[in-house]
Amino acid sequence: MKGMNISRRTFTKGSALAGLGAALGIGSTGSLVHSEKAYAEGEAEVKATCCRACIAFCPAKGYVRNGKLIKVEGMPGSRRNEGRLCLKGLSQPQVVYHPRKLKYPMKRVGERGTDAWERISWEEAIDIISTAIVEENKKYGGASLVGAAGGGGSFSLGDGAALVNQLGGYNFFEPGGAQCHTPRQVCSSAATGLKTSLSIADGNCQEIYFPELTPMKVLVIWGNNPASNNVACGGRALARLRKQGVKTIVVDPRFTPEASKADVWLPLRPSTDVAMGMGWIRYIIENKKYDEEFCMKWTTLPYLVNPETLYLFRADEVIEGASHDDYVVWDKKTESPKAMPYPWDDNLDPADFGTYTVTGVDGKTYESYTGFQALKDSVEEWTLEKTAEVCWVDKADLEAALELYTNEEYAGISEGVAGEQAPHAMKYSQVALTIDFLMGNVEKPGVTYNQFGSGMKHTAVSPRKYVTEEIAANTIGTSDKYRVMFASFARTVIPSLLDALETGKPYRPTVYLDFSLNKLSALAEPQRWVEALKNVPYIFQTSLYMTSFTHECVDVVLPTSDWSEIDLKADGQINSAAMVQRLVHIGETINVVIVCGMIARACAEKGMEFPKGALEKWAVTDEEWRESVAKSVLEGTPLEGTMDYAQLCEYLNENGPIEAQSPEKYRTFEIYKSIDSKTGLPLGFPSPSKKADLYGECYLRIRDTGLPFLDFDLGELIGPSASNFSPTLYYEEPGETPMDDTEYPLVYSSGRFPHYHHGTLRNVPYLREIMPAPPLWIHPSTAEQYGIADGDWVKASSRRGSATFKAVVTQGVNPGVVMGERFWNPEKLEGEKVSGGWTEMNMQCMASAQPPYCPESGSYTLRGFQVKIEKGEKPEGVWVEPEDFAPWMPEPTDSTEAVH
Amino acid sequence: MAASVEGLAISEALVSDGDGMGAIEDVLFNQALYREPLLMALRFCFDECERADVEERLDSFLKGIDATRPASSLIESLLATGGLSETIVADGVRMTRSEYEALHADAEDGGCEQVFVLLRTTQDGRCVAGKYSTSNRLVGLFVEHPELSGVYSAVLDFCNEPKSYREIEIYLGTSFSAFVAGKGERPLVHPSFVLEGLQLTGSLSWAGGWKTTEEGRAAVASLARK
Repeated sequence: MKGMNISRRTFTKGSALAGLGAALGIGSTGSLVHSEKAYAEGEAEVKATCCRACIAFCPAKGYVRNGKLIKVEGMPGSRRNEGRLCLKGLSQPQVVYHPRKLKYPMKRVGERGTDAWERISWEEAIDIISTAIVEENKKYGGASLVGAAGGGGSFSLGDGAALVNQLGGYNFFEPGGAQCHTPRQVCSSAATGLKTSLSIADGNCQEIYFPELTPMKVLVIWGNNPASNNVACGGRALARLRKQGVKTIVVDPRFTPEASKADVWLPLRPSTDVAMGMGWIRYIIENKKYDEEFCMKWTTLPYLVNPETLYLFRADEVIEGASHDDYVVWDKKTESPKAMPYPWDDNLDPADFGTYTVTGVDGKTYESYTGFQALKDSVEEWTLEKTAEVCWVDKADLEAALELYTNEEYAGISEGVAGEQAPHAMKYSQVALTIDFLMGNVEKPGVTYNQFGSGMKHTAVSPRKYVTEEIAANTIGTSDKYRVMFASFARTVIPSLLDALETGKPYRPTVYLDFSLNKLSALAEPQRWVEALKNVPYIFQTSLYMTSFTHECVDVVLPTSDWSEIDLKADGQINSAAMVQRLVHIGETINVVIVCGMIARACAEKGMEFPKGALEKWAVTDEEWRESVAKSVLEGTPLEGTMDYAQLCEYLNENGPIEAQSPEKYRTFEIYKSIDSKTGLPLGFPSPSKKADLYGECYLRIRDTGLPFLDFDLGELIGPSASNFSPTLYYEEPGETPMDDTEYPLVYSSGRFPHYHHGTLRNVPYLREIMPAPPLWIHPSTAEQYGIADGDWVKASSRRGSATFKAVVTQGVNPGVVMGERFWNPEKLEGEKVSGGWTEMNMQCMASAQPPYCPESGSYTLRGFQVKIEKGEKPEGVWVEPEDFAPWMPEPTDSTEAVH
Repeated sequence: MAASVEGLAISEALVSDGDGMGAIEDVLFNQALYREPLLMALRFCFDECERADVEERLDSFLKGIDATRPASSLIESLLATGGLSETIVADGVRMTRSEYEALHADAEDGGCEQVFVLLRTTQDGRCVAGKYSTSNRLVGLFVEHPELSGVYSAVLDFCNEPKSYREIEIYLGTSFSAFVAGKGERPLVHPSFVLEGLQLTGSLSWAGGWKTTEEGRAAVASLARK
């Protein structure tokens, strides 16, 4: 394999342009500038890997010369990215050779908030950490330990959570969780029992990667932006689909790259997604656009509701001698309630809508109604006029979008993080799922709700491993209220934890084990976190760099390996198996999974008891880890059991990702209709009713029991959740709303840009050169009102704090809205030392960790809050000019041997 | 105004703010782990004493709490914020650090023969130490959570001999309704809430088990008398 021969400087700048080009769906090779060869032909070793700069795992090639990583580029032939790689992945040489990359364990020898550190050995570091964990556990039991990981880009999410739970710790969180991924995943898992969802970013919606086969005609891109967050795979795939005629509807407050290519753009007011969705549902029901066959036979919508409990009636509650497993319908033929056996009884003629008087076996009379009627009632007020008015969109555009979406058989929705960063998180995901399911866009060619892979069948949600009854009964915020979070790695609810750290109620963890870079750029109200964390005696971190979180809060920091230094199974591939392959190794960094194992074993040696078999599962050596990765990569492929790690690397280097089967076989549809050999009946969905629960009884079950995310009934232990879970949809105005706020008149929202993933990469000089400061998009009329010109520094303030941005004056936002970056936290330098640096340009200082919260998930307000703006000044000490970033220029060093 | 509950009061004389108390308190509350050793250092130095002695005693304590900061770092923090003052004694002559450094810089032979450092708690430091005495903090805890005052007293009594977390959990669960839960119920209070609260007053400490400190015992006795 040969690489493009360009200089490092021009390569990177060209790469950045290529990434932007990919974001816009345009060709980009013309942007690259050829130069003299950087290395002799054949001199560089080319290894097959996958990029892990974000969650996409794009297959890539790593070029290593003389033990140094000199270049990363996309792997041709991969269905996922078709040879592309975005600027995040292309930046890896600058990441791994960053002069500030942490290479050795360090312990704090001065006050928190100062730069007094001392290099220590791994042995000492692990001893300090394990001693604190074990001793604090003796003092406070499982209440003592809280763990945390980074967001979706983290490769320690599952391992960190498992470690903390194995150590008996009650709490683990990550800044995504309730704010990203969990709501959309839970909505799907709770309703259907399936692990898939409507999220491109999570590796679902895989139909978009089969342009040669899919009949897809319309795609709704709602609150996500693959051209920025999933550039080389999802964004690229959508560009290809658009090219072959797929029409798109983009629901987004910002004129994103996807919006710029959309057939209809609905620039809704931030945090009104649920209102918009309810308007869509009303339109679909009113105009009978729904798929009646699917809704009646494969959803819970025709089942009768107990108006007192809001649960669906079971047949034995209404009909003497009937089965508890069956539900009840209103039979129009006999004008009476009848038990509906699974899957369907053709002798019955169930009512779709209506309210009916039902007498239970208890002799009580109920004014019952169908699930369909409940849905219809919930959206009754949401006419197109009202929807357009509340959401600040044009009614004609709204109608155009609905006609486009509902008149096409092969259509689907992709949803994302935008709606999850506000208290309406669960209802946002529920409306998106409801719309697509009403239309019958489920497990069919040309739609987004699919679960591909012949080995997958219906992969049902499984209870969280290592979550014991004691842990579940004590997890802060989740056990007593927001039980949806038992579905996620991020079980602890963030604002509840912050409250606990501040007040000590219900208890305060005393050891905080953090597996991420910079919580101060990822959590709302970092100013409160910095103060609250002073109450935590021990804070330990694994990280790639010392960040402002390290500076302010951490006592021991461990240098963990970046993705180009480790081996890892690459999840989410499309009909193929691939692996992140180690390319180099810098300093004393260690793979975070092995670090988890080191901590686990050290705790065990100090007397900590582990769940049976748990300790043995941690890899002890790098070799063990590599072989376990190889085994999991090969699992389910035609090559399973045929090769070890070294042979797999050789195979991948030679051939690229392993194709699992033919595309036709991989794309599996209507699995729920396939016959179960044990029963002779259709398999159905792996939900209690075997139907898709569009009515929403599943939320009541989670409220009362924690099922299906726990393998025991939490209600029997500590009672139902104290939070108000609703099966049906409703809309509430955001806690702060432009409708009545004159002091802070503008809505602040945020979104992704293609340069960075979550809170990472802000210290990559070439990326910062392209995007040196967080932008704030302001409509021209708004900018004029405040005397702000394009490129000016702008200070935005909420009721909680302020942040500074660079103005981008554009018609790409509504006049009442400003749009900024989601994460920004320049690591200010003072000479050679890092400073706090988390207050100047950090929008999280304005976001809210205060009520209201999502009743089901505890999601809080990262978007859709009120701000005021004024002309600002460049914050002292921040870097914005290209030459400012010179101290961050990469310093390639020789690879070192792993120390473990 | 001093806080009070059921006739208990924090000493007015000790809570009145000296000008420099804020900075010392910032250090005290910078990290919960170091609150007790910092207060300990302030108390040690009510009478002038040698820095080396203070460091030795502090280091011994810090080792027991798995601290990463050395005693010297804590002392420097207290010196920087005015909680402690420092005197250098060089060949029997008392001087400030800057005087000593100036002298030392000029010395051609490398300095004095006998040098030691003395530390003394400043007036602000004394005020802080008094304000956050175990007795005052315990009263503050009772004021903040009067509904648990009986529980706090009982736990301090129970821990006259070292007790494990589990022993205390069982004790609370069998003695106080707030810690008892029937099937399908949650206890109103978590045992850790009580233990942390008491530890932060300095009345309870961990020594292989939870044990009431001498200061805690004295504070309880004093409160009982009142």
